[in-house]
Amino acid sequence: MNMKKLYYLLLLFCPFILQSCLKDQKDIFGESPAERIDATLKNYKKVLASSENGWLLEYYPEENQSYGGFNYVVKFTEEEVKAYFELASDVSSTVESLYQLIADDGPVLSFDTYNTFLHYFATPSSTMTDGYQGDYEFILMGISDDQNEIMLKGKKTGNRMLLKRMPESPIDYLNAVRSIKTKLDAPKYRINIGDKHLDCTLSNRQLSYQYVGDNEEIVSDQIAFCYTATGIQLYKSLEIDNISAYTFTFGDQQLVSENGDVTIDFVYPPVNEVLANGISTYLMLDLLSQQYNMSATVQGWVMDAYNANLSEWGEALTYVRFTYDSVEQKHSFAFSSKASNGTYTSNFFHEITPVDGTENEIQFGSDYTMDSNATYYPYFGTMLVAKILLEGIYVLEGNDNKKPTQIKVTSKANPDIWFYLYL
Amino acid sequence: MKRNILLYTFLLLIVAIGFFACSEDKLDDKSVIKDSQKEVNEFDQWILVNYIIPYNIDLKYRMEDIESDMNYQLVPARVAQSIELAKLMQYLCLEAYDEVTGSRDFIRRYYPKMIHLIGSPAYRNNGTMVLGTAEGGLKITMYNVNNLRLDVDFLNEYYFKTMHHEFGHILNQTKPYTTDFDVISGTEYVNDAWNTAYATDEAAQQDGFISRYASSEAKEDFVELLSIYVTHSPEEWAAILEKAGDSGATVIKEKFEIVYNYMMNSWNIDLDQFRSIIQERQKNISSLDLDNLN
Repeated sequence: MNMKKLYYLLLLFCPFILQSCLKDQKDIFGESPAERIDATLKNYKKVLASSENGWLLEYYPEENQSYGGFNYVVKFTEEEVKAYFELASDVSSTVESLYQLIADDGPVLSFDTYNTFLHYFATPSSTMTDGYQGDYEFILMGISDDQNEIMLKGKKTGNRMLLKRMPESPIDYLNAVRSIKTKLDAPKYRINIGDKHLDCTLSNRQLSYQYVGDNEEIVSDQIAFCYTATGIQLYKSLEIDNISAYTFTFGDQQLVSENGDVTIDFVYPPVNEVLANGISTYLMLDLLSQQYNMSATVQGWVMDAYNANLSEWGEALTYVRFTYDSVEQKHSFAFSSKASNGTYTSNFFHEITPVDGTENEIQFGSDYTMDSNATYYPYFGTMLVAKILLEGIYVLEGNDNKKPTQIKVTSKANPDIWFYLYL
Repeated sequence: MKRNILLYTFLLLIVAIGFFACSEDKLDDKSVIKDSQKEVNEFDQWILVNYIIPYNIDLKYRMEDIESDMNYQLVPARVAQSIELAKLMQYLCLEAYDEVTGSRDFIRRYYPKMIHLIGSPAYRNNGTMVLGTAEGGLKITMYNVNNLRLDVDFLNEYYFKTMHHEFGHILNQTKPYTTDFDVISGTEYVNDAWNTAYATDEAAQQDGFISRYASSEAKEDFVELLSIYVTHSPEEWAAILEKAGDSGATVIKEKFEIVYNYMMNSWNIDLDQFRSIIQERQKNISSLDLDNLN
């Protein structure tokens, strides 16, 4: 071999010798990665098991939170988790199963055996093969300094969720949630934010609203929310004109944001709109349980109609309902006549409209039409319906401003003509 | 020349130093593999004694994301039903193989090393559901555990037919069957269209396929014949052939003969004997204690 080549070869070995043990490489962390994740998991487990009343989980299935948020309370022991669920038929009932903390995408809390409550939104069926696309594995994102909150992220949905340490009994909390849900039930809502007043809806656990933006464009938004014991918790902040709101508390017929900047008013339509919108069916006359209240004049019309029916068919008039027919798209006086072989219902369709500029007056249309059954009972139309319609405008008086269960209907021209409608 | 020797010696020395440098590095006495945080419970202990030690099969009743099929929305199995199914699988499947082969070695050697239990069915978006899958001979996944009912037909349809079916694939992969089988229905296999090609099993049987799924491809046909044969009584099998009509029955019988001979010659298992063992065991399931771990 050429001497020169040999020297080069020799040179080639220099880096091997020269670099070797000049310094000791220290790990940045004192422990190995495996030990660190092990310690992290142990710490999560310790914190999870440390809450006597468990943890509140405001749970949002589906990646766009389109079903809204639902309350769980989860209590952890070393091996088991016990769950309370807002949608349980009895909120004091619990379901137990196993859970595990695993090192996966970071530390992961996995409910890895079936729990009727916890897997409710994840369970597929033949008609919904993805179920409600809920998570049962959560990446643990961190613990708050006071150890009262644990940040989670749904592994499938990516939804951010929180475990909040429960200061009170789970049953009390969930009962409060259910009662809030009823209290927040209103026909319409309005957001007051800055100088804007926006109509909005609170349905299917979604707050939906729209407004005209700076460039005259219409901005629509929808934010999922979860009922709390005191109001609602939004999935993400509502932000308009640099004002934001995240948590709302119920008080004095409205929802108020955490710093008072934003309120959501409950809007109750006036009584004439309530009657005209046709959502509810009212009872005018119930002769089976003797429920009715009407002036002597109206009662006289009813008796005439009753007697005519008795002599024509030998049937007894039992009910008169004030209802709305969605096929005809008209209101109707519906008469029930009891025959030996069953009860026949005949409809007399008519129209009512709220009188402009008033909150308590309605205008009846002058004509009515009949369905095929009604042609057998024409006297109900001539003896009662026609006489009511003839008066034209009526004044309404509800027993409750929000949701009246009784409405007194009085002719504007003739105070002797009046009757009550019962919800 | 002398200088050369010197050089080579020097070179060797350097190499030696290179190798031995840094010898103070010690192996860490702490393992980087950490045990999971889960506690060992009574059921885990039972699985150790009844599955892992005797059969070298791990029964995973806790859902593991990495072990499950991401194509389906699945939920875990309920513990109570997992215990029931674990005992049923032991009695109706594993021990039945022990009985026909004379020892646990057969299962220990060939059966998939992991059975993963899943609570929900795996629904396909075409309205059908997957009853079970086997992957590479290593793992069997059993679905629909949360709907377990103690009814022999139900158990066979949802679990045991699947267990024999998937195990059949593994046996075939280990020792191939004769290609004579594949040519019997040759071009009539319909692949993925099996659930639309035939409305009922009976319609498939009249064309010589033991079930709708058997019409998909030859290797499925083979294990369907195997699994349906061993989970049905002789009377039930005869009734299937009866309904299949002359032409259907002839084809099914021709194919089954290959299946029977394969099991006999390749594995020394007489399917008739195996079937009667299973039938006998099926009669006893109501007297099994399925709820208590002992």
